[in-house]
Amino acid sequence: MRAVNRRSGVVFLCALLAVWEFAARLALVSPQALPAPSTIGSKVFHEILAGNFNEPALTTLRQFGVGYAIAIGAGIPLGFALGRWAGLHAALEPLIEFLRPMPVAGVLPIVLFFLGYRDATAYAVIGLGAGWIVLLHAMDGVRSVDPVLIETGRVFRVTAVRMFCRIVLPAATPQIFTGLRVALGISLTLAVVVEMIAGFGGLGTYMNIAQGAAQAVDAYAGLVMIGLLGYLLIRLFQAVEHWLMRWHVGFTRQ
Amino acid sequence: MIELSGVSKEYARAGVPTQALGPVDLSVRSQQFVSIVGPSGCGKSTLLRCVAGLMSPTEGMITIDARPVLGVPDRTIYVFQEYSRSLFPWLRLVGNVEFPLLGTMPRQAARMKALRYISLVGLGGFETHYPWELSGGMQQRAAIARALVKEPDFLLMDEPFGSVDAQTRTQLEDLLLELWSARPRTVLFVTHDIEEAIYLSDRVLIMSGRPGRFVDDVTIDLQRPRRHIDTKEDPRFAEYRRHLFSLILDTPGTRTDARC
Repeated sequence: MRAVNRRSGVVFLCALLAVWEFAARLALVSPQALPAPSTIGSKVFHEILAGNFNEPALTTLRQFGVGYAIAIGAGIPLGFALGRWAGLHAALEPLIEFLRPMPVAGVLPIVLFFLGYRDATAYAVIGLGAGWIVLLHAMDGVRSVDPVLIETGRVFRVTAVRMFCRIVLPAATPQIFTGLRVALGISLTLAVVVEMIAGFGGLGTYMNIAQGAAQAVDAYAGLVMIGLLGYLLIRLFQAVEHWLMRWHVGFTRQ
Repeated sequence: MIELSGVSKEYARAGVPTQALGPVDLSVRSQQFVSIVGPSGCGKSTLLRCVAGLMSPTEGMITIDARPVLGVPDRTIYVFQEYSRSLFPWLRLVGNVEFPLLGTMPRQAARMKALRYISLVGLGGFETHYPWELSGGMQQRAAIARALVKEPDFLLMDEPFGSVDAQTRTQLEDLLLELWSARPRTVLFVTHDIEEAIYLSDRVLIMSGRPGRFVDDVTIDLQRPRRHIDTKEDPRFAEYRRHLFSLILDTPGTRTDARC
């Protein structure tokens, strides 16, 4: 069943690329806007071989990595604190619920006021934007632990520390991981957006320059690189998650 | 010895106080097996949760061995009706059973003891299974092993066999009796099943509909060890059943088909 699904996915992708190739070759769409996938593919291939992507890709990866690390490092403890202490949560709830639906990219102009056009801006924007998502999931995860599990801990008279580390934390991990997964995508998005707007290197700036020079093929090549980077990062994440959360895979399938 | 005097519980429901339980008085002798039977919503689970220290009564006093119950009392274990939600899904069976021991004894000793209790409840061979890989009856066995591994003197069970099939249920009842006679302890057992209560107990208390009060207190004078076929054919068993059923049916607002 899974093999069949995967095959149909590949078939669909090939069909899409074929249609695109045809549309581009027959110039149904302006080649300035939509180059043929074969052209883009060979461009990506040659640029990678020539090492032209090394610098921008590493820059994007660095900004992503530092920002994501800040997001995790700040978001998880703060989320735990808000989830654990009802008084703190009650005090901040109106603010949290007001900010919850706000698009995270909105912080960029504000951060620029404070930090200007520096790498720190990228770190801060990603840290704030993705950290917010991590915080919300960690907080909600801790708050929504099944009360029966908490009472089980009480019946066994566990200490507050054990209750948190051995019951609340493992029970909340599935939701924490959901937050980390969403935040990973957001971190990469923000890294590219900041590079496009603030223009200090990386794949976002690469695409921006290509766009300014009317080099559609280059812009698409940059996009493909971002896609590849995101794909690799999410696969890496899934491997870690699968390893840490073996119990949850079976638990949710029961 | 568990003693309740004038215990009542009031809930605020949509701002309106509702009397859920009592006031009730009760005294359970050490090593006695006592069941509380009552209709759905009569407050029998509330009573048990108060004894377990998971909630506090609105009024009245509960003592265990003359010490007032303020928090969760020592040497007392409460077994949840929702056994599948009470087991930790991220721990294997052995991890679940040794959980209450960790921090109180060396890890190796805790492991050995957990393994002993796992085989005691008939789950030998399933040590490395996760709870969700076990059937409902096996999960309840796991919950019992985890409760007994701390060797509590007081065992509080809230409809522990309420959601397993009939055959598994008889097996679990016999397992419980077997473990109890091997090491007698005070058991307070809440159920909505009259036959189960008679079969297991030294004493059955009948509770009225909300707010729950005791309407009768029946001493079950049946020979132990009990056996499903023989005990239930005993004419006295039928007599107890008739008496308790008529009591339940006569008490206003009582129904035994639904669970508390």
